[in-house]
Amino acid sequence: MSENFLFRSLVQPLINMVVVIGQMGFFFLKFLHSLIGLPYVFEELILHTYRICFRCLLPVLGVVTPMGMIISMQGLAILSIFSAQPLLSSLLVISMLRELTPAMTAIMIAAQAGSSIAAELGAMRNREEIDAQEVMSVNPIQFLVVPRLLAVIIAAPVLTAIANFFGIAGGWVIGVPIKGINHGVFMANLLDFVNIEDIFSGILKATIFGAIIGVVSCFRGYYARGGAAGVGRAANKAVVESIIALFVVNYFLSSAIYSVTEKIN
Amino acid sequence: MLGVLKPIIEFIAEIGRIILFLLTALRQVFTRRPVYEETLRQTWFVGVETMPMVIVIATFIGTNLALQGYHAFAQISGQSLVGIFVALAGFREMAPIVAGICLATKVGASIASEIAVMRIKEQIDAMEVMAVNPYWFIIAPRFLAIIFCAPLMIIFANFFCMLSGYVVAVYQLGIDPTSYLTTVTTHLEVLDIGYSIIKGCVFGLVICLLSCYYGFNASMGAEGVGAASNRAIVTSCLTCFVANVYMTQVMYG
Repeated sequence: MSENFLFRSLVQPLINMVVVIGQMGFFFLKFLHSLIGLPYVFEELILHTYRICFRCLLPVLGVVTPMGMIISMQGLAILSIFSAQPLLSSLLVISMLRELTPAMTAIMIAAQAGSSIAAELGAMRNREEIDAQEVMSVNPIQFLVVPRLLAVIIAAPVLTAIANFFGIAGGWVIGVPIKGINHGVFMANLLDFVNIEDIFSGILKATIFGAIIGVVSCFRGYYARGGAAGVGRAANKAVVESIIALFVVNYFLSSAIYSVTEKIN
Repeated sequence: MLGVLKPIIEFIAEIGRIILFLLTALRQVFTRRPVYEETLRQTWFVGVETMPMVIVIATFIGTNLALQGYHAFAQISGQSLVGIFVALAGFREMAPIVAGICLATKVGASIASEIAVMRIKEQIDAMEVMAVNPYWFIIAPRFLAIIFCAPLMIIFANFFCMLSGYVVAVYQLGIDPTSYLTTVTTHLEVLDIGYSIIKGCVFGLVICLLSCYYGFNASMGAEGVGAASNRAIVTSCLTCFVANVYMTQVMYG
């Protein structure tokens, strides 16, 4: 059976995928287990959070601001069919808060921080530092994985909140000075359709995306094999897999959030 | 004063170096017979091995467009507009962006790290010593592969985005399928599809150029490889998004 071409090309990747997802879940359980135990390495946590926020800020803003501009342009093109241009700012704010900013921010965090986490841990595994820690009965997950994973989980919502502001500002730049919508109308409609759930659902999404990025990239780096090329492969896989995972999770999260908010209202 | 100007001058010099690199590479692409085997290998990698990622991400982008569009338009009781929203947002913006992200994270990063490994193992210098032009042997096949595959990728992304948007709108949100399809076909123009493909091709070229450049100029050591692929992903994502604003302005402004 395993010589069969169909089996090798279609079924085997699926089996491998399920196995890898299981391993990642197990890794996450290990992380949770070390989260309970002491000691905490607070300096490392603060250092990594600072580094991730600082290094990701420029790429995140550089992606989210053009995104807001594009929403403004295309939104005006669509809304002018129904001559409803004043609704632009409502459209912009809802689409940025709920959907686009968390997703785009997560993509850039995966590209910038996820790959560097995977490369760092992979290099440590490669130089046998992780094995050395285990020999000295220091829990490497406690000292290496917990600070990085927690740092990504903390940094993602913070960056999303900053990026929300810049995305809406980018939309304003296209809408008001360039396309000539009245500033007062823009500001008046800005918060008309926004509920507190919109803001919190974006932040919740960002936190979960951060957890996904952290787990995938720490897992890939922690178990990297095969020299310098293996480290490169681990970093690449970390980015690709975390982006795929977060888009898949995004759909189910959106559905869940909508059904929950409808029940509440 | 000079301290402030130095990063700006360095930035402009970097752009100049990238353009010189592009011209050198394009000369090899257009004036010499390509290396067939390497081109085929790269086309397989770009076209076949990256396609599952494009399909998965485009599918879930389509589902989310339908979901968000439905709930946004429900507030002004315009649920029937979901079809237009999915079609226009998908074709005009999201599908090219999805293809760009996939190209940057999977193809771009692996191009950069592959070429960087060649650089640190001094294979590129060895080629130059043997009078084999590295631009012809390494860079040109990757350019050709991406030029060939980017339009196909966009078409796949568009198709799966629309398909999943339709499935979610009809089966999850309960919109009438006939009215959905009618709104899509009345508001979607052929030009939108063409523009979408053009955008994707531009993204492909930008990503290929930047990742080849950063791989080719990688610094020595294992850190150089990681830095090259990281820089390739981030810079090409940024450049694509900024280029997207200008292209949208020109096409639909």
